[in-house]
Amino acid sequence: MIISRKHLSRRTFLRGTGAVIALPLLDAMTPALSFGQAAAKASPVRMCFVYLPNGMVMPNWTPTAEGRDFAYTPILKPLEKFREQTLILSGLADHNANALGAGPGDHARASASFLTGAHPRESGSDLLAGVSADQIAAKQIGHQTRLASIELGLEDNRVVGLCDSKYSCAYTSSVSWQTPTSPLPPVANPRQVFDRLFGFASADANLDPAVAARRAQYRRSILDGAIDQTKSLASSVGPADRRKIDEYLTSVRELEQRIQRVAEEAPMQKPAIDRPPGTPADYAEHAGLIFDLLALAYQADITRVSTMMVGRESSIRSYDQIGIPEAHHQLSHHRNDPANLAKLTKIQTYHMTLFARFIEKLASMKEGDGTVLDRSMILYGAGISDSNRHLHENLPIMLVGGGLGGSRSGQHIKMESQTPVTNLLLTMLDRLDVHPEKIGDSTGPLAI
Amino acid sequence: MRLQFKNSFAIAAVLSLVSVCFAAVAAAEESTANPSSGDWPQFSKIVQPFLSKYCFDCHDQTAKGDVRLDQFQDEHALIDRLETVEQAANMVRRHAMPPKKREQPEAGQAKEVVAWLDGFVAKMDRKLPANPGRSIVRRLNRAEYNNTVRDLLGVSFRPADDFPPDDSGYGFDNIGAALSMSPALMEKYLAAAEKVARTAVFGVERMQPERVSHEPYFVADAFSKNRTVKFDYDETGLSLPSALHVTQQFPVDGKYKMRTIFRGSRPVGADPVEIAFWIDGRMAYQTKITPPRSGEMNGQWAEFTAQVPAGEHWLSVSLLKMYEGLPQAYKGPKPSSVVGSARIGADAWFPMYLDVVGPYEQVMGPSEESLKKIFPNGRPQGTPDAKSIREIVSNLARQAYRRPVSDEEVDELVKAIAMVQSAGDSFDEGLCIAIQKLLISPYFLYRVERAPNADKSKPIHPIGQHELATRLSYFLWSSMPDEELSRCADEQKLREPGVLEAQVRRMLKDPKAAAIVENFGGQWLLTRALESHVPDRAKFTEFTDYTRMSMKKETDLFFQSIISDDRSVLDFLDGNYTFLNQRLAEFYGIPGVKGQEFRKVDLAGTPRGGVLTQASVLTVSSYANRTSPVLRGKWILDNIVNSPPKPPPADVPNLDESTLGKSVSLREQLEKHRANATCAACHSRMDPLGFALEHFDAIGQWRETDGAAAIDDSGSLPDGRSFKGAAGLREILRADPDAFTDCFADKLLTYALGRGLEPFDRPTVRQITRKSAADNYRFSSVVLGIVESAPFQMQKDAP
Repeated sequence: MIISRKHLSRRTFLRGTGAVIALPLLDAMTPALSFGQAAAKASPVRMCFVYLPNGMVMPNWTPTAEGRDFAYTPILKPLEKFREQTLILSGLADHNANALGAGPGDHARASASFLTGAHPRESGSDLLAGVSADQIAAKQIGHQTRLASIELGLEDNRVVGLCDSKYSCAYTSSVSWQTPTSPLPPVANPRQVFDRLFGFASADANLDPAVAARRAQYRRSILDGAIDQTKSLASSVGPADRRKIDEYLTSVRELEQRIQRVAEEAPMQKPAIDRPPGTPADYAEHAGLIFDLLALAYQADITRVSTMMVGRESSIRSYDQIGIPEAHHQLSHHRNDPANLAKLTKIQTYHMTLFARFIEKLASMKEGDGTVLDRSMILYGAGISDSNRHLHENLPIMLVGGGLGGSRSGQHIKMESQTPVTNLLLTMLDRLDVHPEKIGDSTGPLAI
Repeated sequence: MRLQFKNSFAIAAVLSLVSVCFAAVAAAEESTANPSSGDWPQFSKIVQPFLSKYCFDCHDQTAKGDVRLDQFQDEHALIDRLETVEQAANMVRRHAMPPKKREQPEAGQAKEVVAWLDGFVAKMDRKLPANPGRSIVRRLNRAEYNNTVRDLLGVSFRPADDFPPDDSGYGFDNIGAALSMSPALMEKYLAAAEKVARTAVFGVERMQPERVSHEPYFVADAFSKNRTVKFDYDETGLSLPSALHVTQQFPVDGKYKMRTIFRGSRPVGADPVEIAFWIDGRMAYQTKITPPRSGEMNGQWAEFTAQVPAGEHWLSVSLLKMYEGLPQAYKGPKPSSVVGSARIGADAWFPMYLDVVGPYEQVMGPSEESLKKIFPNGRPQGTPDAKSIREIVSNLARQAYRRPVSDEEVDELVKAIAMVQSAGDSFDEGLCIAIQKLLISPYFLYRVERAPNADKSKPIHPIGQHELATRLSYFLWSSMPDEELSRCADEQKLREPGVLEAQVRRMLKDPKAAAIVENFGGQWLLTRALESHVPDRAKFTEFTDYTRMSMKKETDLFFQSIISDDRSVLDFLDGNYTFLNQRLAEFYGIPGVKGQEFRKVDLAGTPRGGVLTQASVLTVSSYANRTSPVLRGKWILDNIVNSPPKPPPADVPNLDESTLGKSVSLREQLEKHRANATCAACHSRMDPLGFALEHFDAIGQWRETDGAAAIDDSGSLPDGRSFKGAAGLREILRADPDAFTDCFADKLLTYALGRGLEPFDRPTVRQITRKSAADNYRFSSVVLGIVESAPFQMQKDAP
């Protein structure tokens, strides 16, 4: 694949849009979609990271007992039905989210380091963190599916500037980092998610199958024509132009192959969901829709890697619908006031309820002799434990689904204090047969 | 390379950039008056002794700042380092060199030296062969794609808004080297081609009505944070903090239902509550709501249906006639007779959501606009004959490729139509496929300039007529050439005397020239960032979406008027007028502007003038919660003076924001910061410029104090000159008109060429500036200077 890319310094880029602006999703920074040879389709394992903002009321999260027969705490309760497929891990830490000499900005550091294990640079524009675990996986196994990965969220990521002290909003908006300098902003608009997942299939879904087939064929002939035209063009331009033209040619070819593949291997199917008109105003409806789309993407094996931000870090969303008009972030500085803790617990339990519906959905999707949930490993957690003090140790972390294998599922395990959460990420990647030397501060896979 | 040079060449001096120089103007006149100025034989008499006396201490083999001035043994040595000559002239002109602590030359002598150096540079600029550099193929960016399909096929639904943002370089998103392609983007192009073609030929496909929900960010906040109400709000209610303002892209002409749901309480006295809906600032519907006795507005709603044309529209919901509603405690005019609590002000009401559902009764079929573009000779009845088919597709191909097309290229398109027809589809379906082929072609998506079948001995050659027409139309319109411009190219007339200038003037008058404001202006002044800028809402309750829209509009109209009225580009610095609606006038504290239409307003007697004091610029150059003299100074250095400071070193301590405006003033803090020599090199240039604007807060409103701290808006530059406030800053910038024009020309040339400028482009920029100076710095003079310049007209083949 010849996708040549000119490096542009962030400053150069930033000049184009504003002095203190965050990085929008640049197409040039997203991986070129590649559709390789027929991928091994048997029992693919899916990986997902669900990120929760503003910490957790730990006493209402952490089970008291270890091992198997522990009692579910209020926040975990909605997921109890899936006890056997859930592994609660206590004691993990995100060391690089700590200040370590930098100024305030624990929220920004929490989200930016959670999957990268890197200590993010304190900056409003010159972003620097690390490559996140999901993107490490996407780079290696992404070519096996239509999309290498998908990054989802529930908040519009157009917020730019500084979101947490001197940290760019890009740090709080994303947990996925494609390179140490390019975060991938989550898509929150269900319509855009839908289009990204289903592409032309969505446009063609409402057509008569014969018409749709003809259109697909026309598209291929259009791309063929473009390739022919470009070959003659490439010979008549200089080297700098030729690089650009080659980039075009490669893109056309890859797209053509992909359309070909879809035609051969996966006859056009109407997605089992209508194209959403936009973003529902209701939070639960919105979350439900995004989770449903993700479940569909897993079921149809459109992608195997994703991240989902239930809210941006330091989110100020208010949860009126469950009777909490206060902004989430302000509330998270609870000062141990029981009323505040109760409200926070309510929000966090609410999030778990929405998540449990997603798990339910995956469990209902049959695949082979099991379900999609059996072949998923879904990390649910936060980069902050006690939000009042911005602690980054003893994090609330759990793994749901059978994809991790092993016999520890169904347990609550207390790890040695300060075990890097990145060790868990290594373990997860291991199951996908992806073996990075390390992720940020990792010291080696967990023995689970 | 150029930047490096600037940085290394005596940084402290560059800031004198803003140095006043009547001497410069005089020198320039002199050099034109006296043709012998800059003649080599004079060098040893006028310049050499000066250099040796005042400069060689540092700029001999010591090469301080990597600058040597002791090696000009012959004319060629000077020519080889023309940039050094130019910089040396600037240093002396701006009193930046020799350094203050050294012996200073006598004014007359310095003037003579500067005149000689300027004269030499000007002469060489005219004399030396031009190097036009090489522009590489440029992919259409999003704005260009949208405009081009609009002009090619009459399709206005802005398909590229759905594409990923274009990468930028050198401050602009139309830089050939930065505009990349990927399979993901290619898929977008393929999908867009299909949609554009089908829309043009068949009209927009029937759409299911869809709901778009708006829940504006600011409205709810206004409710909780802003309980004071301007009495003098405009009668429309549009400028109330609680009014709802959103923009929405409507995909198709049709009927749309708009429904708003309220929260809060009935404003005391407002019984019934009068509500209005607005589309693009025009009242579209008015209604009355009688809430229950409790005054509870939660869940009350209003709706109406309107015919809306496709395209982007500004929608608002406002509360009418609030005067009667004001509680007495507000002490406003016409207080309510009802005794009510002041706690429930008129803002205790706001539209929480606006839902737009549609289209209903969608207008079907292709637009007349599209039909005219596709079938300029009228739509044929039934399936057209072979000759007409050729005519139709070759006409479209010629426009899509922005050049004449070959028979073979037309054959390919005709064959595609036949292929579709033989598969059983109609001619119209075939035509769609032919159009899709055009829209996917590299000749459409890229602006290709083909190397002529050249004589390798002449790598520098003029670009072709159609290539020139294309450069011109994308420069001025961000779109394809129109029929008239294409005809000039067809007839090979563009380089005939007067033709190009006439075309430029015609194009600048065309409404499509608004693309310069939108695409160049928005990126040069960074006002594009305004849309996503979120000031601290608790602190700046005056900042509503309406304020934001008004700010952007002010700057756009100001720029547009400089183009339309062909005013001096120096108006950007100190134009004593602007464009305001009532909202912004109140925001600025300028009386006498009523209603929401923008109009030209004289700024005499106000502290404002030029773009530096426009709220848009002041806002995007501030942090969310406070002003930053550093950011504003940097903004000026970057965009007005073209001398960007280096990025800060990694180990510099940050400002302690927690104490800002409390115990220590921002100025004191920054001064402490500047005590560090590393910091001072850049901050002594940046900070004084920014401090001059300190009377304008982080959203551009006038303020007397910064929190508890008094404001000191005086400053002095490294060259010792001091000034006070925005007016002083304006004066100092305005005193060196060529410095600003040089910067402006540099930016506009970058945008026009779609590549970063190189040291060899300096002569071009200087020539444009000289030419513009001779024509009162008119906007058109800069544009013409660019269009007539070697880099715009010529191309250098790659080796």
